[in-house]
Amino acid sequence: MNKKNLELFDLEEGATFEEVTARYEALKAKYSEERFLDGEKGNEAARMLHKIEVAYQELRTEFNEKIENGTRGNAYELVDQYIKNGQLNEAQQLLDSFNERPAEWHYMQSVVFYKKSWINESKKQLEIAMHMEPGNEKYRNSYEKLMQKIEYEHKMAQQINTQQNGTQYNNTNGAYNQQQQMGGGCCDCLMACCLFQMCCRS
Amino acid sequence: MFGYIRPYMPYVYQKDSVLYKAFYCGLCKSMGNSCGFRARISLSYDMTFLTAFLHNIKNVDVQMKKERCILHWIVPRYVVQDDAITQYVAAVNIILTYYKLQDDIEDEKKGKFKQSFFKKGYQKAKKKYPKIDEIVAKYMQILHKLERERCSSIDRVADPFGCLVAELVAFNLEEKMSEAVEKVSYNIGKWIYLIDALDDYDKDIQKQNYNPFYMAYMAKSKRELLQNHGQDINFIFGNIFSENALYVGQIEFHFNHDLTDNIILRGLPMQTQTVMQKLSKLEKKEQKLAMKTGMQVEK
Repeated sequence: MNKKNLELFDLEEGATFEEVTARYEALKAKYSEERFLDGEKGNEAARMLHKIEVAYQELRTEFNEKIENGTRGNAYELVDQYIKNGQLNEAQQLLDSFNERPAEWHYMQSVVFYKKSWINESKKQLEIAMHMEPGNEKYRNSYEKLMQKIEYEHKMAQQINTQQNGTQYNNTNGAYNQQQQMGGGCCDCLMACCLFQMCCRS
Repeated sequence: MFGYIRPYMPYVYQKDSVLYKAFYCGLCKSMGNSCGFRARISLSYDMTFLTAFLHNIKNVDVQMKKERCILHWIVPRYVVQDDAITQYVAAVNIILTYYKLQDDIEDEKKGKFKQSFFKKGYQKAKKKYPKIDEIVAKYMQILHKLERERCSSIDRVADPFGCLVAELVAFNLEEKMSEAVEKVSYNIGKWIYLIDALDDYDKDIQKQNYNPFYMAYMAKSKRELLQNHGQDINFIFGNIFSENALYVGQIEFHFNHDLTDNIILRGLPMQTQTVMQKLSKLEKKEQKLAMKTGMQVEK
């Protein structure tokens, strides 16, 4: 916060916006009357009026930024909370309501997309976040983790595809028979019939 | 939009093949009973998978009997006897078909006759299960809105159909619903939407209809799309398959699940490949022409 501006209002660091406003209004009223006085005093008052006007505007924007930053910081935590609770729609709504979209926003969006299994979009958002803040460790790590996980899952999916064959053969007498076949005896009956025919043919 | 979910036949056991066909016939007959004869034409493989899937998770066994029908009037076939789940899926089938045709009318401004053909069946199904109609209408509206906006995000536009399937499954399973089942059914719905979009790619471009792959990659034909962005597309489908593989293992099945495993783990990837390799009409023509000219040269 600009100290000179605060000194102008006879206030110290840590003053609230309400205090500043009250002080500003008091001073403004005072100088507004004084500026009609004759001679140097009137000129001085007019100059002061201009000064406090500028100072007040500056302070106000500073306060606004501070408030916005505060809520945004909290909002990301809130998004995080929603994600942890599994309330993805609420998280998405909150994210949509943000006007400014820094790297952190894209990161959060990426997490939400990931949870919704929109992997393609998630990857894109994370890439944007990394592009905006190339030095950020968190984004880089998450990206690497995401890629590793995807690769791992791809491998697992392929393994299941190839292994399935083997296990089925191994388990013909074991686990597979323990699970009941749907449709009951009809299938077995048909299988027997099929086998019988095959025997006959050979 | 339908008929993509099929088992990969070389790996289906004989027992499962019989079961699958019986489910198919059972669904057809059930549709005839509950929604009228005309509705039976809308029968699809996707819904056959859904009956097998739901029966298994819900722990409902089926009874098979040999029966005849119009198509198979000489040799009787095994048919799964009608029950609540089959009726539910039959209603889902006719309602989805009706909405799909509705979609076509709005897009291409034709097919009113086709839709009126199924109207009676749709009304019967709607009367019996108003909730299905509600769910389908809700998500179809969202989907339609996204398509109107020409949404360029593949994940976003495939989301409503995934949610639709997941919710239809959840509504039937009630307390048997689990996170794994939700994920698998969501991914299957998403896959149906995407594979349909990929299959219709050339047709959509010709008619200037909406296609998510075109909006995302702007390729002129399917062949060009696969050549230039094949990796991205494999990535999208690969994720669906890997998630399916992960979550299918976590689903609690009550009967032997070779059939559904085959469809989810083998059928979907195989079907994706088939669609990717399928030639468009134009390419077929070119190929024929090339063959003819080649033969003439030989002569």
